[in-house]
Amino acid sequence: MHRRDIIKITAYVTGASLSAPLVTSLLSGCGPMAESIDGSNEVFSFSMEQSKLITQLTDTILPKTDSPSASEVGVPNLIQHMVGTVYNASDRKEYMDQLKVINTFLEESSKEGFIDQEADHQKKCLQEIENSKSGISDHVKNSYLRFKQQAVAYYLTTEEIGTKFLNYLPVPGTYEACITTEEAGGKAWAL
Amino acid sequence: MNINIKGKEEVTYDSIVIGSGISGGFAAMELCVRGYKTLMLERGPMVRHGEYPTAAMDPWDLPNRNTVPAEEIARHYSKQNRLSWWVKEDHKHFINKDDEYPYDEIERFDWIRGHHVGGRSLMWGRHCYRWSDIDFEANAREGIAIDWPIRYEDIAPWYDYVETFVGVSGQKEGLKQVPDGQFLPPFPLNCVEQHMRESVARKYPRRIITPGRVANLSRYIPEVHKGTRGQCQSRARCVRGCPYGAYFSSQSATIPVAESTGNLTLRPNSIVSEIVWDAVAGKASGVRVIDRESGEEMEFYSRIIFCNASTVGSTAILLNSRSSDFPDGLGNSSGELGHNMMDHHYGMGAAGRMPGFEDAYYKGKKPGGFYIPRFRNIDEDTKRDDYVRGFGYQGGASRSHNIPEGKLGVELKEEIFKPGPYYISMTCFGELLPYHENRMYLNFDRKDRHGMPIITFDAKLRDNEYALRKDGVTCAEEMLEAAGCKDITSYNEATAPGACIHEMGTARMGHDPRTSVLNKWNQMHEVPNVFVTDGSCMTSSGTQNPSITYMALTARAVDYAHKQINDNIL
Repeated sequence: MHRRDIIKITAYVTGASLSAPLVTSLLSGCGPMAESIDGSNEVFSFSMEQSKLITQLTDTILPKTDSPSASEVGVPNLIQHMVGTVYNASDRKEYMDQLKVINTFLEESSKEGFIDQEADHQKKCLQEIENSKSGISDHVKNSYLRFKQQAVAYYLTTEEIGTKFLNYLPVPGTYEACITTEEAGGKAWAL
Repeated sequence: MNINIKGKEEVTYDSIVIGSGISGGFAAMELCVRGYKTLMLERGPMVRHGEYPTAAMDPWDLPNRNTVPAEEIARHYSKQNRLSWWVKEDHKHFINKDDEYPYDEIERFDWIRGHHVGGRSLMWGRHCYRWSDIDFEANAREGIAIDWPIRYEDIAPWYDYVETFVGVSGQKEGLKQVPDGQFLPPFPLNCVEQHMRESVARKYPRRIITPGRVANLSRYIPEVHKGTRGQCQSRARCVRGCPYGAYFSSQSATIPVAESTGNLTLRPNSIVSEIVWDAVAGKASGVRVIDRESGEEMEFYSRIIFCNASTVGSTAILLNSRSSDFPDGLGNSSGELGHNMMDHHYGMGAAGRMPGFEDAYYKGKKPGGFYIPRFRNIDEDTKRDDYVRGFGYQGGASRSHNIPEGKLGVELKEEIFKPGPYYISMTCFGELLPYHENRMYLNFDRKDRHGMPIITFDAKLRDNEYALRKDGVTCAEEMLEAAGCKDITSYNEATAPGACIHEMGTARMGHDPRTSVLNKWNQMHEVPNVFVTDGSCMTSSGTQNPSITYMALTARAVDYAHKQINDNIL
């Protein structure tokens, strides 16, 4: 991958500031020494379009409310880092196939497509999958639901969300087996 | 070749303990408190209590959400990673690297371990269940393998002793198949688990769902729980090592107590290559050691030796200890050394969603869920005609993330900070019969980097195990249905031996030196000053997590050895 592409993608995803893990993960995939696990010399990288898709999907699913948006707490970065450098080759292929399935559906489901469209329109596109109207295959819905699950799980395990929007209790002391959800303030435990 | 630049006196001890894990640590402690100058040899590096670098890390502190990158796994942990939940960032530093210490397989064997002071006592699951005579009598009753040379009455007082020191939380249930022990208060069942206990008991009165009996200090009693221990804080991060010393490990309990006597010499990075047989004296004189870092070879001498290098480690040392009296390994005239390899098998269970408890929650993370003791083949009423022996379960109920379908955007944000639905899941653990054909052996033509022969495994599940598994899954589904679970799913993918990390057998106890390696005191029939009290001594596998049994046998064997020495027999 060319260095200018790395900087472009990084800036896009993080809103101009360099994100160390993402840059490292992208850079570590580059260069003559990098070898993927299956022994080939192919280096994996997300294209600009894929990166945009991931970011805009996560921000549509988890927009800014009185809590941060997904990209504000680094969820798209983390997804790309995990898939790009932590996953094994077969898990990565499965992920990318599912991303393609989502992308193909979104491009065909409206004349404008999904990427770079207005937030309301993007939400409508995804709501259609959530509501699973006829004409949407199980494969599309399952791919989307897995994406959504991962995005929310990563979101809930960020420091910002864990410590400020969930019940953060790193040292509980004693175990209480039966309390009411109300006694926990109606919020889930962060850990 | 021996390079021994020290005088012999300086390398002679009253006792040598090979291995610093859950049984080795206990042997060393029992010997030290009785006044024995004890050398404890550990093949791995030093880990001191408190040296737990990840103990306080939250999910966002751990690299890659605790996931080890695939490339690193392929390079270092290809076999350890067969357990998908095992190789994680938070404790990979306590896991053996397969490229540094490889092994061979005729049949798949998942040899899961770490090599460091404390061994798997740092990462163990901490469940402790007593054996009963249903287990000790099974071989004799069914005409399988050989009879155990002990019964429950021999070990019961030792269970009392070790459980008290270890600190086992639990709830008395009065069950003969898994007798009650000396318990600290249990970590209680939560609302859904309690509901499940009651609904299952109504429909299946022999199936009891009880709090897991885990070696975590629900109540820390300083006078009893000696060492560097403290109250459990319900963080459930035990596998990383506990800075509070709240669960039993060599680090938190046995090593500090042994050290406090002034009688312990702990030498890490010490690979025992063999126990040396003195044909003239008719006993073992000591051990040969290879220093893991320098490669230097040395010898240490002692009056008695406790071999606690773990099932596979101990048997490998014994098989490698060859002489003209023992061409097939020390104390192996029976030919049984390496044979009768067992483990528990799992990879079977069920899970379901439990509606109706949305207002119920819990606070803290308890270090164990529930346990369901064996209920099959325990008496005439529960006898099966499709298999012998039985199985138990570990499980729990907890609330998942709240990610409702149909919602995204602002509406989803309103939901995700709430707790999600309850799920109950349980994993079944089955007994594996002692088959002579299931074995490990050494390949003397293939050496590792220290010059030690590579271990080959040849053990597998057979008909009884597969029949047992089917029933284990059916019963799990029945229990979840009885509780009222929805969307019940089950699975049955047999694990290889080793995967349960309860590998046992290969140096079994028995009455007869022609068919066993050890006598009723864990003493080698043919080498009276060598005792083997780790998992290798087991004559059958039971369904119960075995570590507390190893510790009870260890304390009992040290007591016996000490009496023999006092009576000038040893």
